[in-house]
Amino acid sequence: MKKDILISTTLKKEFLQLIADDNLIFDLIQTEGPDGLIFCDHHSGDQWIDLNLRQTLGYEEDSDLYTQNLREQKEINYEIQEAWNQINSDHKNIKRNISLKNIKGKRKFFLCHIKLIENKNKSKMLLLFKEDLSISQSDHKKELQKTRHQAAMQELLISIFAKYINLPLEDVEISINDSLKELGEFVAVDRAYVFNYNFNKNICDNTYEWCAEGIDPQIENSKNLPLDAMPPLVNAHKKGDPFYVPEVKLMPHYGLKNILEEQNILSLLTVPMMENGYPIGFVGFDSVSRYRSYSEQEIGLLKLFAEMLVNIRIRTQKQMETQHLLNTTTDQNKRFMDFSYITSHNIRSSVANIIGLTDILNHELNDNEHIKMLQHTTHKLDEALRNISELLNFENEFNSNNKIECNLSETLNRVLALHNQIIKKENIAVKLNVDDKIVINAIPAFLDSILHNLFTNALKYGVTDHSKIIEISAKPVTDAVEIIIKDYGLGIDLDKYGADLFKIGSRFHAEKGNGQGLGLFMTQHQIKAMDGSITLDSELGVGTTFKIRL
Amino acid sequence: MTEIKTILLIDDDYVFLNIAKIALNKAIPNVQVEMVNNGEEAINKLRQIDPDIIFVDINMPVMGGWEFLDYIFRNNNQPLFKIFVVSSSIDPVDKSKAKIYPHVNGFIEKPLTTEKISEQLL
Repeated sequence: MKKDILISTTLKKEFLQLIADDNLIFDLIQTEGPDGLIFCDHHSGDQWIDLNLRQTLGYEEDSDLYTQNLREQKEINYEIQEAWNQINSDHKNIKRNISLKNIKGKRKFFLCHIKLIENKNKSKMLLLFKEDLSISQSDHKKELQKTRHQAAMQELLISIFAKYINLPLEDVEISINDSLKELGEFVAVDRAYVFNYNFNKNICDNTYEWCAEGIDPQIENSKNLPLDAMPPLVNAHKKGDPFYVPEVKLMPHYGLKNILEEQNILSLLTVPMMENGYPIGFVGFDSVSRYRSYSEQEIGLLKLFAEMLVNIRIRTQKQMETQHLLNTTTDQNKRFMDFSYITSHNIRSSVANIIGLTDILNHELNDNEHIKMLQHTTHKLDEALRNISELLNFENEFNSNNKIECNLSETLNRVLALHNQIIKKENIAVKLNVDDKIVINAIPAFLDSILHNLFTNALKYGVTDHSKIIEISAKPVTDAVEIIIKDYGLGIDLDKYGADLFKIGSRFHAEKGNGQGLGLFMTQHQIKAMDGSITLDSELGVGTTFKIRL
Repeated sequence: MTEIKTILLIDDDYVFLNIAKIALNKAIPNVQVEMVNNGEEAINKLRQIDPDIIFVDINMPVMGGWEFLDYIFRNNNQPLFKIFVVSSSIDPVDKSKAKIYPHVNGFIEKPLTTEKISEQLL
């Protein structure tokens, strides 16, 4: 084996001549499509290593493999020697697995087609190197690293996403800064940032920024940047595409290049934040210390982060809208309470005086017909006021009352006692079938009011000259108690009124006249407030059955 | 019930006072009805007269009904008079608040009529 020598230019010429003359060799090279080749002479030991092989191993075009990397050259020499040992007149073609170290010392694997070329008793050998990726350890490692990288990236994403779910809005700002740091460190860039677009003013603004150690912040230099200076970036973002510049120095000259160069940015990646197909801003990475290229996964990571920021923004807006609505409602509610107070105190005090005065007048004027009308009207006004007051106080009562266990039988007896006189006078048969052990989890005032309202309705509309029976029963059902109040009186035309039953101001019995249309409305309200339900079944002239579940 | 000779009405509404006076005179013949416009005037009046019954409104300027009741409660452990809160209010809160004062005998919703007077006093 000859000692290390220079690249043989003679052999290069010979090789070129060979492929020009010998079709078989030419075809062989064509079919093999090698990643590199070596041509060598048996006698002189000279060898020519082609440019492709040198590049495959990571050497620059003009580098001198012999002089710079003796060790690597020794390895090649060894492989060539081995090939000479195997190849002979009987075995003009052999295939061998050969591994060579690249410039960084990583081993690359090749399948080498070795051909002996005998010409005028001169033996030459051609080695065609084809990189074997399937057994390439470095590639395998790369693959493994890639997988690990992706796993780490997923972990990072999950941690960032987890952080933003249900994050109180006042903490969002800090979290965005934290996330920029995490992303920036993970992808090993110098800056990570968020910009907002303002297309009305035709500018963009740097709103958040993270800088690696020793890197100057640029956030203050990046306010009100004119969009006119950066059409390619804006246009890419408008299409929803990333704007990616691996090397700023290769950018054509326009405003953005100047901005980037002023900030010493070498590489740049930005991804738009899209809301309803429109960019509202962008997130990005800068490199100032070295050129930086980004894998699809890394771009994907930034895209996801951008998406997340958009979601947060939407959430913030929604929350602000809700807050605004809450403020308005609170304000309205306050005025509502004032109104309630005025109604139940000021207006009512005038009405009380009118009642008192009409009573006196009535007495003094000996039952004057018009005074009687005034009296009647005033009492109706008073009743209306009471109803309004009850309605307005509903919220108050609900807020100040908690559910407790109420004995149904006791409650019913209390309600019935209030109507004792009329029950006796009208000779009404109230059939009560309620186990005195039944308890209902309810707001006592509401339960009283509900039963009172429904029983009063039954007395008013369920009792006729022909039928004077009211049945009240109760039974436990799954997770609730079902109370049934049944009468055999006038009934309600459900086809006509069914939809309006529980609406405020609905009245179904004009001839009985004195209802305000509030009873069922309040009843349903109170039942709903306690998570219960009410249904009814009714037929004109047959009767009405109310079913409550509480 | 012992004979009712003197009644003190505390209310800033002169219309109410007049209506109440008519009703009281009708319900209790020969009763003397004294009228003042707020709690403070009532306290001064109580230095001169010794009523059997006091009817007091809630919302009044200078000194309202609740403050008057507080004053009575603090300064007179066993008053010789009966007190009724008389209010136009139909707010249930006012009614339940009146019950808290041990020496309040009842809550009467305005207007004060002969029927209500009879019901509560006679």
